[in-house]
Amino acid sequence: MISAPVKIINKQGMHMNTAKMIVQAVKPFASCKVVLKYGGKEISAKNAVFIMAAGMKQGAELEIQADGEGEAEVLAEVKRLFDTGFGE
Amino acid sequence: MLKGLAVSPGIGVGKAFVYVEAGLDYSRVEPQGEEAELARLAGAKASFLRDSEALAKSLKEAGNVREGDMIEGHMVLLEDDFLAEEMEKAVKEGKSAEAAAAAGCAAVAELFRQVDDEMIRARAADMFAIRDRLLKILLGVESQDLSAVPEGSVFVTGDLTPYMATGLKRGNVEAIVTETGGMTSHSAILARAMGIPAVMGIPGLLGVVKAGQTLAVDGAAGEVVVFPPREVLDDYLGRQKKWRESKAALLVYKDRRTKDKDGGERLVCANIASVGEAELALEQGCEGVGLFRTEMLFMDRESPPSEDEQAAAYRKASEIMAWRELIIRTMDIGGDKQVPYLHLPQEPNPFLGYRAVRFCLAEPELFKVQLRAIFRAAAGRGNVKIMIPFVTGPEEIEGVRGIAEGLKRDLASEGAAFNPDVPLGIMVETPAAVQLADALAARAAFFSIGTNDLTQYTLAADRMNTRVDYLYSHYHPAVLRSVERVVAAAKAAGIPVGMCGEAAGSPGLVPLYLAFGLDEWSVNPGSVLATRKAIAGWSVSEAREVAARAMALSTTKEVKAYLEGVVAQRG
Repeated sequence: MISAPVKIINKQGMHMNTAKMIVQAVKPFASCKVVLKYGGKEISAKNAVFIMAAGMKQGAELEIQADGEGEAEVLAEVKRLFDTGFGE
Repeated sequence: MLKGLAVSPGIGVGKAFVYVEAGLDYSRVEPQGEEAELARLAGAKASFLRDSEALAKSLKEAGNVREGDMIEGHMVLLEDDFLAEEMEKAVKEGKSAEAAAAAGCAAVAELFRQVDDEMIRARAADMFAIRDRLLKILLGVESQDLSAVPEGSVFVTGDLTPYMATGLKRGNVEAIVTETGGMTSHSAILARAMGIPAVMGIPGLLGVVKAGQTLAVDGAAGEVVVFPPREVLDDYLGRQKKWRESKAALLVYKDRRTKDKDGGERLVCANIASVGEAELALEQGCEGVGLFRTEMLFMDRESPPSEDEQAAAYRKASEIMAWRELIIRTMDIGGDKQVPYLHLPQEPNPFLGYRAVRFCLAEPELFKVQLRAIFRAAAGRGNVKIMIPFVTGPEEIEGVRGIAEGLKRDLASEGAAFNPDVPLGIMVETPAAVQLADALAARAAFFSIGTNDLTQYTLAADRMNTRVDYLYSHYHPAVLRSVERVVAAAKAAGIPVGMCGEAAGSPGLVPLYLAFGLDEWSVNPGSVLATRKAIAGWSVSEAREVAARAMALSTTKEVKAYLEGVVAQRG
């Protein structure tokens, strides 16, 4: 298992489109468990509803954990989404 | 007679085609057992995803990236495990697939409603949209097919969505009548651009109008007569004939270039607010886009459009215009055009406040994204220009230029394809810009006079305030002198000067603007041909004679009476 801290830098925080981008990024890695740790909760990165419902705003700090086949690749990809502010 | 908002002028008579969303009552559906209902749900989901994928793809290919993203967002939500579990749970409790779909979507909507973020709370509505589509599939009900609207129809509906508007066969629709929608709603803009008479905002409309009834619609008066008696019908048909004849008479100007009577070339361009309108404007014979309002790209959504999304939209508009110019006005946000996700403060005086270039210079992040998108969209294309709104002094032009130069250096070091030579012009719409026109002309690549704001600021009169709107007139001598002065300053500096406010579409003012030396009229797509015709009717010497007289008058009333008299006399 590997992990990386990330911060939400885009102004709008987490919303439908950003959640969609995360879910789409992890989807090809079916045998890797990807979790977003935020506010004491573990949210599956495959679960758009819970990602949205966590109410993560700009400035929120969270940790991405990936465990399984392709973990390095998927972690880098999800981290890139956060680091680039989801292209916004 | 029904009264509504006069959204798009013209007369339309036809049979009501009443478009209602299909009924989604599932209370009588008998569950056929757990296994059968789960299979029905799975089938509906698969069908939903298949349709959505095709729809998202076609939306994105047509340049509607935001709508495409939304559809993809719905797909991701539908595939969510939590939603699946909730639906499954309901089936196991003995519910039908329909009831389970409704329960699952409601559970997710409830989760969203509890989030301390307005953007997420608003997504509850998306869950209900997803529910309704699932129900339609499960119940086997389809919304009516828009392409099946027969010839000679008046399209009647609750709320005309842009999706409906673009799906309508224009030749078959005589008029559009709706329950909701305002003058500046996207659907109103589309109706105007399509040249279809439209009346919107008639509460209770669907309770009054039955499918197949004859409706007579006056889009300029905002009037709809249901099942008109013979004499009323004849009156409408007579006026419709005249309206059509005058429209047809204008068609000879469609493939002509704009010239005054002496053969001097001028330009009639169009004002647009979306990429879709660019095509409509071109069909109306415009010689370019003199004003692409970009605010629409930023409104009615939960986050700003990305650089790539904007670049794709600007690129598409530029390609639609081919060799014709495309003037992109950078975002005129703030003031009365509020965008919730920017969280801009409420101001006591929004029209004199933090808006447009002021906001862009003070908080440039969004502005930078827009400028980068424009530079990239213009790569290899020579028709794109940038226009800054609400300028009051040269330092604002320099400020924008400073930001632009920095962005070009970034783009160059990234090795991105972009156009470093996009002309930077300004809108002249404040009295300060009029007074400083010479100083501004030395720094701007072109001027475009925004007569709506210029009139309001020059006369210190809000045209929405019915107590003072009598003051608001483009014929006011102070406004006309301002226009004259701005055009003269542009001419002295050798830069092109256009006009993109409503005054540009007034035939009575054409001789004055011609005499001043205006190069370009930018008007609503529906007014392109009438404006071209009006310009063709004047030689510069005739126009100068009229202008000399008009400019010697000192009240709005005198100027208006004189110019309207001149136009009426010439027929």
